[in-house]
Amino acid sequence: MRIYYASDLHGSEKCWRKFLATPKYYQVDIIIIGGDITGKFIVPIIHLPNGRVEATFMGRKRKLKKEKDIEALKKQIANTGQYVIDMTQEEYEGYQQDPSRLDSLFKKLLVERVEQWMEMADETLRGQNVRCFISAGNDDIFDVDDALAASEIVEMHDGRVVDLGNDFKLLGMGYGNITPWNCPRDISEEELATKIEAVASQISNMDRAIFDIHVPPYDTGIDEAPQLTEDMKMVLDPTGTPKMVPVGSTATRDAILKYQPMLGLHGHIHESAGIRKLGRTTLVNPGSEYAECILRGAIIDLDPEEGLVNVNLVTG
Amino acid sequence: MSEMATEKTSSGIFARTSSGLVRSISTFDTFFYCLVQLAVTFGFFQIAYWVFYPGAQMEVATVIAVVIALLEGVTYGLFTSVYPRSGGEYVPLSRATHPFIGFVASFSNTFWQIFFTGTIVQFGTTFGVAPLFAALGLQLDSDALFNLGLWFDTPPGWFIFGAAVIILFSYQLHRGMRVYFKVQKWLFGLAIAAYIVFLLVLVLGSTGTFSFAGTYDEYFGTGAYTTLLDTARADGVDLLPLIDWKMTLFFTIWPAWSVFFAVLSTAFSGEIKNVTRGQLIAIPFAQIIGGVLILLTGFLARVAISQEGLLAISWVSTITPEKFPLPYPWISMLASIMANNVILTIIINFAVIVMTTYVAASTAIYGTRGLLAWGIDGMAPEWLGKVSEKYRSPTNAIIVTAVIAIITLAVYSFTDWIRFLQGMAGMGIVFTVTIFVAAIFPFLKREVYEASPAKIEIAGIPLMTITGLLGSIGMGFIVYRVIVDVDYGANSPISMAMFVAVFVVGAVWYFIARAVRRSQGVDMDARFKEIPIE
Repeated sequence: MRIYYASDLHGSEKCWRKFLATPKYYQVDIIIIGGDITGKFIVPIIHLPNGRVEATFMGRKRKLKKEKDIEALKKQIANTGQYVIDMTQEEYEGYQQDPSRLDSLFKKLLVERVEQWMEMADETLRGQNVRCFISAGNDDIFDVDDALAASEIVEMHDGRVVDLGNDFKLLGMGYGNITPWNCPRDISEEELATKIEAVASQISNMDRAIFDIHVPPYDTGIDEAPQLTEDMKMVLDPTGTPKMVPVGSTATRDAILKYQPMLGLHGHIHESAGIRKLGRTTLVNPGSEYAECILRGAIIDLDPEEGLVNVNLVTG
Repeated sequence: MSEMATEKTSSGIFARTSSGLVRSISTFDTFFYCLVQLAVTFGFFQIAYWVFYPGAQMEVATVIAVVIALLEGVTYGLFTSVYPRSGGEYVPLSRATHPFIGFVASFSNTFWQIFFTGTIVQFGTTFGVAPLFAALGLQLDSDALFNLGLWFDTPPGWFIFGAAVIILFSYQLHRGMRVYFKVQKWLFGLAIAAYIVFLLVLVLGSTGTFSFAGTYDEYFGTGAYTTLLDTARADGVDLLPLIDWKMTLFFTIWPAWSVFFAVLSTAFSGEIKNVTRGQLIAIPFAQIIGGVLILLTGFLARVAISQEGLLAISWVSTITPEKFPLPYPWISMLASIMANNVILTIIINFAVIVMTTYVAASTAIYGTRGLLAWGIDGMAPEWLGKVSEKYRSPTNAIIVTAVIAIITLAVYSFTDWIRFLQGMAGMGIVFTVTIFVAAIFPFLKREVYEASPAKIEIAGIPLMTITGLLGSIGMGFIVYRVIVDVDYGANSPISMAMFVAVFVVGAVWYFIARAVRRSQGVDMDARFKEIPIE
């Protein structure tokens, strides 16, 4: 059995299409996304009275007139995980003056894209002998759950244990520990521990168990993120690169140490790709470079007799 | 119903509060770390060996070098902004061309970084520690101090001091560099201030407040300075040569290496990308500041000591050292003698020691980081990527780095097989290849380029193409001159063999690692292959 695992696509259209191509490309039987499927930014395409449009993308103001150039820009924006909305200068200024109005705009765009993705998944994966699991992550608003559930092909494993066959079980947990940003599914370590316990206790054979917990275990080398000051600036090391510190979950760590599943699949920390061990458990974080349209993933080979055979980090 | 914190950003987009959104590294911080890595004190070499390029204009050569460096800096800043979390040349080159090229480039740079760890510390010893004690010995009339200064500039002195510093760095790396990190910023700031004092000493020398000739005669006898000039003239040295532009161009290789290293600062940006600040401004600005410091040092040295004096000292100390009473010709030594003041001597050499040592510390970190990345990536044994559970530092990579650095330091100290400057050719090739690939990157990976912060164009031509092509021509010239210039001293048969061998070993290593991983069911080439989509 071969599994492809990725996480933290954050709305990247290109990464999503690559993800749907992985069953054929990597010859896998199961594909999994471990959370954080929604994006973080909206790029307003401001339509000016003179017929031109303006948009700020990747830190640069783009001024366009031709329809094909505008469409190409919109596609680029979506590929990098950002959302596009056409608006007039007045509408743009209205949002600038009242940012609270953006809440409903984000919800609309986030849900719309997930709905589109589910349609794509159904169309692409139908007829292929592949299972697709997607969990929401701590960054994902709850409104996307209904969009995920609407898919005929995609299975949601967040908060559940699913049977993969050959006695392999997949546990999903998209909630995360509290972050400085207080994301939609950030909860306390105690609450997270309770939630993990509720599902983990359903698995009898941990030698064939896969824990897909979005936030990696604390202090395992795959949970290192830049240390931040109070005003969210990165602290630098002697060479000018960010000083990396562990930010993973102690609840995840305790659960892994307690249950010692065969495999732990994690995301959340984009900068911390790696394969580690925690006791007998192999931990994997493929990392994420969604904004560069690079799909980072892990190919996992399983054998009914041997269990975990191989883990290989790939970028595609 | 979930609540979502949203905000507009000043950059024309709207952001919702989500994990990972951090403020980018400030332009000043990026500038500071680029400046730390600039080997300003390498400029002492150019002053000491200027005599071998009759008619070369030091200041003009420095300006040319800075221009080439700016092209390099801007290109690197743009290229690494495309893949900002990856750092270095390995990933951008692997993605733009092939993992083989990325790995061999990374291997070469990593090797030479480790090599430089020991040799740059030796450099600090030669330029700073030795002159400090020798000058103090003269000023305090202490044979013990003077002889200590002499000892520090001998092979045993280089090796023992260098190995001790390598071990200290390695220990600090293992422990997480906490102590080092705490003192770095203020200590380097102090060193910059001390370097400015050093320049002021040269200014006072050029105004006549200090007199090098006068102090030299005080120590070594009336007429000693004039004898120095006469000795050089008797050997046929023209101490007031006419301007020679060809020699000026050839001389560019000396200041070049001081300003090229700024690009080693790893690019890392947040998810709100803004390349108009950050490395695109900081790297070139640091190169300009570094270039100004080097240019000023050379110019003021020439005026303070006098052109004739500098050329004569360089000649005599190199060709007939028995006729030169000072142990070395470095400007730090000459300025200390000229100032004839214990406090100023300490300040001058403190600046040199700290600024040079910080470059060595950076090379240690980069070398370790390269090995760690290979271990994690499967291009090296897995144990190389293991981290200490207690300190979270890559202990095995640190040990390997330290061992290689000490071995190369030993070979460097006790044999003539390798020369410090030969690493420049190896790294120069990598810089040249990288900026050339950057130049054609917008055409190799059009879609990626279009969607990246690097999409800046002049008259429809990608800026990184312009700077990359011009930079690779300039840098290619520098590398060529390093290889053919006999006076530069980096092209002995063994040096050249080593220069080639590093690339060959990197290539062989790649194929062996790939074969080993393939036998383990891992396709290394697939790691960077983009998934095709309809």
